[in-house]
Amino acid sequence: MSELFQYDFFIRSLAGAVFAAITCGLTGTYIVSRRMVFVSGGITHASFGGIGIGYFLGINPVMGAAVFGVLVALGMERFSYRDMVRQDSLIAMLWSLGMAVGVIFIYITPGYAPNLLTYLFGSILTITTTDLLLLGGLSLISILIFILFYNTILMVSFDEGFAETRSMPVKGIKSMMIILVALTIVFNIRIVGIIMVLALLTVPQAIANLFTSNYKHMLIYSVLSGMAGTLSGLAASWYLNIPSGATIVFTLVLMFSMAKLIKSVTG
Amino acid sequence: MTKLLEVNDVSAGYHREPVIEKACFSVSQDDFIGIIGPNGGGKTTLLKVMLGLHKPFSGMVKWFLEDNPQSARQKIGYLPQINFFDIRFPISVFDVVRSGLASPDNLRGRFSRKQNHHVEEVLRLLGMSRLKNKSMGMLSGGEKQRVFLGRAIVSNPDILFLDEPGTYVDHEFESEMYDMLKNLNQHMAIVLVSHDLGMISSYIKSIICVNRVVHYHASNIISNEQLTTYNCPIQLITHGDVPHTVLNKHTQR
Ligand SMILES: Nc1ncnc2c1ncn2[C@@H]1O[C@H](COP(=O)(O)OP(=O)(O)O)[C@@H](O)[C@H]1O
Ligand SMILES: [Mg+2]
Repeated sequence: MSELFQYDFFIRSLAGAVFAAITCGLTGTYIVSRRMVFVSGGITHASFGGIGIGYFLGINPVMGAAVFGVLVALGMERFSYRDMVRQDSLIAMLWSLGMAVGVIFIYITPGYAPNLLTYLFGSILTITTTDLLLLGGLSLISILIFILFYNTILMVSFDEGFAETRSMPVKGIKSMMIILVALTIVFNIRIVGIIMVLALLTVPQAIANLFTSNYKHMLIYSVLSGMAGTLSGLAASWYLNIPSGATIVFTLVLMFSMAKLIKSVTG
Repeated sequence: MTKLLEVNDVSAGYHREPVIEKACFSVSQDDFIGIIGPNGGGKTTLLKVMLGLHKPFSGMVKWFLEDNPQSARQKIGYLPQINFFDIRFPISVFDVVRSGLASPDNLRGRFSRKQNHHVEEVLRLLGMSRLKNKSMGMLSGGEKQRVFLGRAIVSNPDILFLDEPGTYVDHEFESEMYDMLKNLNQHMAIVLVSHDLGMISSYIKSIICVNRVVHYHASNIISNEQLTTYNCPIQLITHGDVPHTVLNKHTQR
């Protein structure tokens, strides 16, 4: 019985690591190439507000974060489009506002908030079936979106003004992608936590970018280097018995440094 | 001559501040119009209004290509004014040129063999075949400009808009490019923005001066006095058949 439980938990963690690498590898490439890292940081932290509201209402905090994260992401996109506020100031405002909302709602929720640290630092070892289904479904959707709309995503990301002159549905594509960004962030919070999820969205891309500057190759290499990082990080956290989220991030950055070193030695 | 586009008493700007006023002219089939004016005079804004990328405060832009503005846009080629320092995007030369064939009916971006072939042809015309798989970030400024020219003409548009295509390219390619445009002008109208008249004066057929107020001038010969009355402080350098008129450099750059 206990062995079966061990096995189940082993498989779940592996699946979580693979799904994280797929979703973050693909969507992270979109984020990095469009220089949206700061926007993504804003969405990440703002979604903490949704976690707090989730606790308060007694619903799954991940669901709260998903709804909140998507709304914030669409808001950032829309207001920056209207050019009413400086976009970076707006992002900083929503970034802190989300955190503040989260803290307040967790404070006024009676009793204590179980697993709060899980959302801040991640815990792939306690990942639930619901989390896995969400992350697995998102992996499938991400793969489909990038296969179906590859050329359109590429041209809109590269030059949206030009895409508009070709009557491409620029707003629609950008909205679809910002929703994908928000969901990718929120569902991966379970893996490495709010504090570190940005690493999953940027470090695999930085590794890929050392070897290619072709968008399609970047998508594939990012997923592969992400998998190498999450799986070996997971293994290391098992053997050394240290927190999984932190170990995965550490491993990814170590991989980047080694790749950079190899690259500079071999030229 | 078939009229393609009419700009009717258009004023436009940003945040309620007018940048261009009283734009009134039309573009016809064989036109080769040069839009000139000082930096910040509103040339790019005028182009964006014509393209429907920027809404005017008043007046209107009327297209005669198609009833439906969306399909009209498919017959336009556009080379935007670009800040090349920012281009490090991981996209290949081939993909950039081919994006000139994108259309909302083809969101999946599946291009036919014939279309791909045509992209190759345009790359050859621009002397860029060798670099077609290179990433944009690795090209020189002049090479990037060629790629953007390719993207603008690959769809064989009825009307081609070019915003300062001469920036970043060397003089040799610049005159080569204008010769190419002269050829293209046999089957498409061209609207070309430039901040100096020098190189383009012998290619264009008419001139629009933009310095907040927009003046249309129906020939390619423009004198010092006319430029002064248009309040269009640009530098005139002689080329070919254009009368020798040299304007004083304006203090503002
Ligand atoms: N997006 C914008 N927001 C606010 N002001 C702008 C914007 N784009 C241009 N301007 C202003 O409009 C004026 C005209 O700009 P522009 O049309 O780019 O001139 P040109 O192309 O002739 O150099 C300039 O003063 C510029 O600062
Ligand atoms: Mg300009």
